[in-house]
Amino acid sequence: MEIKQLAITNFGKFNNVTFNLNEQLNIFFGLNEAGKSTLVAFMQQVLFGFVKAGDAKNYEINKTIEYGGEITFINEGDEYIVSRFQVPGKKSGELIVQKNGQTILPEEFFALIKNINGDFYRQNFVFDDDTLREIQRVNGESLTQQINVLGASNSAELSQLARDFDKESENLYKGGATAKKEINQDLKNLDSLIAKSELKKADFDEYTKNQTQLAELSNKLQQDQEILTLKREKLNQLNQQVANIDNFRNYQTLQSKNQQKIIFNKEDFDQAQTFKNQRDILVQQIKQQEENLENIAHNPVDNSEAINQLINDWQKIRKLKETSDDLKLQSDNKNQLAAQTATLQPEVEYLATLNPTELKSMQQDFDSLSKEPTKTAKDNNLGIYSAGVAILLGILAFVIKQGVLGIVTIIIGILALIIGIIAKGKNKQNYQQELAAVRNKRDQFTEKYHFAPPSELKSTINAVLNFQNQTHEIDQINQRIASLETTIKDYRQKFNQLFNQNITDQNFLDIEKTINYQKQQQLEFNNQQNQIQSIQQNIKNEQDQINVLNNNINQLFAKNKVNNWNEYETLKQDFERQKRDFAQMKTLANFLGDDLNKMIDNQIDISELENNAQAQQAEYDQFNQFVNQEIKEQAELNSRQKSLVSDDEYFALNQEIADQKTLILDKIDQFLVLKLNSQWLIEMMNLASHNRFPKMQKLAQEYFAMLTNDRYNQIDFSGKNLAVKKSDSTKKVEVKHLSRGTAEQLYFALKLSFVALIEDEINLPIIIDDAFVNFDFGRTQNIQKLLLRLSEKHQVIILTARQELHDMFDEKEVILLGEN
Amino acid sequence: MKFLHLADLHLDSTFSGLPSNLTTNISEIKNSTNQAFEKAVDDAIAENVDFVVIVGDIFDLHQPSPQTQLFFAEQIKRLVDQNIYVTISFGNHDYLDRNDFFVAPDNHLFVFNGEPEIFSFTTRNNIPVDIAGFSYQQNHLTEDQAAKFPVANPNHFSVATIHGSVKTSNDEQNVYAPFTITELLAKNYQYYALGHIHKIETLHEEPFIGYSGNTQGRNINELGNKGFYQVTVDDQSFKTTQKFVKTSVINYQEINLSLTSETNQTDLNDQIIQNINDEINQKTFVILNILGAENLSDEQAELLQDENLWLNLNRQLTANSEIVRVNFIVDEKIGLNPVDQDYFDQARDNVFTTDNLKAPLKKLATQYQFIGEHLDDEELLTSLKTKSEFSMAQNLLTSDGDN
Repeated sequence: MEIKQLAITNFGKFNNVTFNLNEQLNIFFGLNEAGKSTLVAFMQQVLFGFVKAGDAKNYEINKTIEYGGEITFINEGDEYIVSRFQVPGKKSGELIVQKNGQTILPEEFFALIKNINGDFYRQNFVFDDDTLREIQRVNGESLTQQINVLGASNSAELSQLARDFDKESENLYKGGATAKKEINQDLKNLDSLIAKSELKKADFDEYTKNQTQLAELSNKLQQDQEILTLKREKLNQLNQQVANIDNFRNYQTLQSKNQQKIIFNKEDFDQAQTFKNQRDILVQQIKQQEENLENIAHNPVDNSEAINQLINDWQKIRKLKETSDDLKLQSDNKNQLAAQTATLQPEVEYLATLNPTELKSMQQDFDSLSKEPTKTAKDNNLGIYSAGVAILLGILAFVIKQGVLGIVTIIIGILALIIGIIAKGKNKQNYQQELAAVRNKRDQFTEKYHFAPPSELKSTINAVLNFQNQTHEIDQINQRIASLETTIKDYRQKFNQLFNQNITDQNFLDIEKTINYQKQQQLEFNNQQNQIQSIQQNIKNEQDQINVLNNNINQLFAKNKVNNWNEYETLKQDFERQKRDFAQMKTLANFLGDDLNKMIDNQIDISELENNAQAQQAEYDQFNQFVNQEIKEQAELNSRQKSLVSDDEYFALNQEIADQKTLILDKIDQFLVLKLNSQWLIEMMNLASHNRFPKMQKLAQEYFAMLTNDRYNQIDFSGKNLAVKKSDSTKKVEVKHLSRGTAEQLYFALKLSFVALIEDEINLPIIIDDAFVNFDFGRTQNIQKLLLRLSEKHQVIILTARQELHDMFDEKEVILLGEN
Repeated sequence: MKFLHLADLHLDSTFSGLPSNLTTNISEIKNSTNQAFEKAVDDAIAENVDFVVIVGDIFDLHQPSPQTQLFFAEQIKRLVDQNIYVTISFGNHDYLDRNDFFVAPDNHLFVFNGEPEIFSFTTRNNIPVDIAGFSYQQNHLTEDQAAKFPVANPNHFSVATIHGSVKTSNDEQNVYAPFTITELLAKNYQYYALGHIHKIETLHEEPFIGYSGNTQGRNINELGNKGFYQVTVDDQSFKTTQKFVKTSVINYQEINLSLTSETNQTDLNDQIIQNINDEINQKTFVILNILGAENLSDEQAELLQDENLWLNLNRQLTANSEIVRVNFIVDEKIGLNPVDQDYFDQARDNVFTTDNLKAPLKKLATQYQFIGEHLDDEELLTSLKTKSEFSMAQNLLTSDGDN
């Protein structure tokens, strides 16, 4: 397949430029910057796609406008126009292929070149400064290797990739490990984690160890505790025996205390008790009653004869008092009347002092006075009549049982009658005589009797008599009052004395209160006395009952041979104590069992027993302490176990180990992938080379000879590695022993022969850029010869700035650049 | 009659395959295996089962931490306190000395101690039950233990418990009490409760021979729901029906995201979150498989391998789930070039061999058991090929143009 024409639209330096190419050899000649590299890029990019933005090889394409172009190929008589244009803003320039003027699918075209990509084309068909660098940048060994696989396509790149894979893998791990490698480092970390975990695991070993120890300890402890129990039992037994000594002693004491059995009849006692209780109740009752009596007796009443007399006399005395008072009133009245008389008739008062004889004399005196006779007659009669009236009145008074008054009145009447009669007779005698002498006599009279003689004296005399009567009556009354008052006073004095009071005449009636009170008191007293009698009767009855009860009790006392209650009570208490003692003895006997008899028989050595118990106690204490120590040990161990049992940290560490292993295995996978990838590529190239080298041999030797100016003319593919032979020797030279220059010449000989070999499958133009041509091929004519030889089978496109190379070829094969 | 078939509790197990900047609290990981077992115990009690068989690998380590032992003892006590019979055998991970075992002896508890034995009891419904089993005494057991089992009494309900794996042609692999199905069937048990393989697997239907899997996934190979079998037995026919009950509290799960074309980073993130959240409904450690990874740009690929980006994505995931791994899987065949494609393919076959991958790490493999085991993993080659493809694609497909 040959390029017939290149039509370039706006690609780098070229715009609307068309180049027509020869079928075999084409030399683009131009100075640097003439567009040689652009042309190489154009051919590759139209065919295999435009490079992406930012790519290093970006040939100053103005991407703001449409760019691209057409390449016209001729393949076995068919014309294919392959065009690609990039329209700004669109994703990528589409490839359009026309076959003989008909648009076909690009795949159809690419099938002709085995669907190779640009990379393949560049690596195998383009010889430029990149190719140069491929060789120059590798060391001798790599170059040797690379030469050895030149039977494969893309061998330089794939060799590089294989080396990269390998190198990358070696960053992870390399046999004969150095610590620098990642996996080695990771493994080291793993080791240290595992070591840490082992340390932790030591804790678990300790745990297991402890667990065993704990089990042993627990076993031992169980045994020891059993022993301890036995010891305790033995100790308890001994202590029991020691305690039994005390019990036995107790038993003995009780026994000695109760040798005599106490006889006690409970029924009797209860009976006696009942009697006693009844008696006590009675005694109590009596006591109560006596108390009551005492209370009653504490209120005594004066019941003396004197007082009783006073009380009895009281009513009489009170009447006397009333009488006295009445009399006093009479006396007063009469005195008043007398006083009135004395005031009104002072002569009366005076005359009253005269005794009757004097009065008679006065009468006589008076009578002796002259007086008119008429007057006297009448007066005489009146007196007599008055006396009669008085007598009648006195009789009347008798009739109405006013004895005294009657008598008095009668007396008065009689007197008055007498006087009357006398006076009547006198008057009649003297009347005339006296009349003359009256005056004289009258004076005398007045002088003698301190008053002038009245017309008549009778009324005066009456008045005087009356006055005198009254005065007499008053005296009599006063006498009587005095007598009463004496009696009353006596009574009062006696009262005051007996009642220790101070009753006077004025508050005399207050006596009654006291008297009444006294009477009341006496009444009460009498009642009490009755009560007392009744109580005393009761007491007597009860006392009788008590006597009966006492009798009963005493009978019981006698029956039970006691003298009194104290003794009886004591007996009872003794009996009960003995009962208790017997019960206790029974208990002790039961408790002591067989030992009792042994002890009684003195078969048990008490002091030895006590010593034994003491020794046993000491032994027990010691062993108990030991067991406690073991328990403590066990507890400590248990607590240690608890602290060991928490395994979060251990787990975390193990998880870390797991993670580290994951990391390492991931890296190992990565390592293996890289390693295998490298091997894969190398293997592929080896297979290809191994297969192709024999086919390439003839051509390769020819190219090699050309390039080495015939110094070397044989390449030996028979061995595992390539070898070459000099023209003048049969000695094989291994590639690694070749000079760098020769090795590079061999490299290109093989690479070119590879292109020739695959020509059947892929026939595309070989592009040789200046850079490659600058390479030291030795003589220029050798190069010309080589290029001509190449172009026999391929279209060869050379891009050069070298004049000598330009000069070497025919004009028609040369296209000048930079001149259009 | 009901019983639980339970195996591979791996209490105290760490998790592997986790990134260094995991957000999940370590205690959540630590508690997960315990919680899973506790769930099983809860279920046994709630369902009032007659017995529980625990077929080995109770503990992840043969020296389990005391704390875990105490926990396990406590849980067993819960069961026996409910008069639920329990048999325990030790596996290749927890080959304990019976003396180091914390669980208190109990009438309802039987611990298999080395050589095969039979534990017999009568259920509440008066059905005689025989349980055969054995325990490991070291991490390997090359002898066929099942062969030593007595033939089952047909009048009893009988369960054979075997912690081990089927005999293979490779003797090196026959180190876990190897057995054959034929030989098991000849023993005439009604149920064969297997342990050791962490993936649920039925080897035979009637009678059932199979693995209930482990109770909690602990690495990227133990995917999805994990749990146990709740087995219902017909009291007359002794026919068994098993029901899987999930116990895992954290799941490892693979989530695929297929890319068919290039996409921008925001859409990519959204798709990742949506794909994950659509598939999970509990706390999950997500293994994200990007299918068609060749559609990722270099930058995207690099970002997706950056654990810090995962943190951002994790925030939007259901149930505090986390992305723990991103795998890139290339859909297209890696093409080198037409000229050498055959050589390329052949070279790959030549290079990707077990021997070849082991060769550069021989020393480490002997030095570090976990590396040796990793290299012995049959899956490794495939996984390396996948990774290699992506790596190769990343390096080869970076053409300087597009056609």
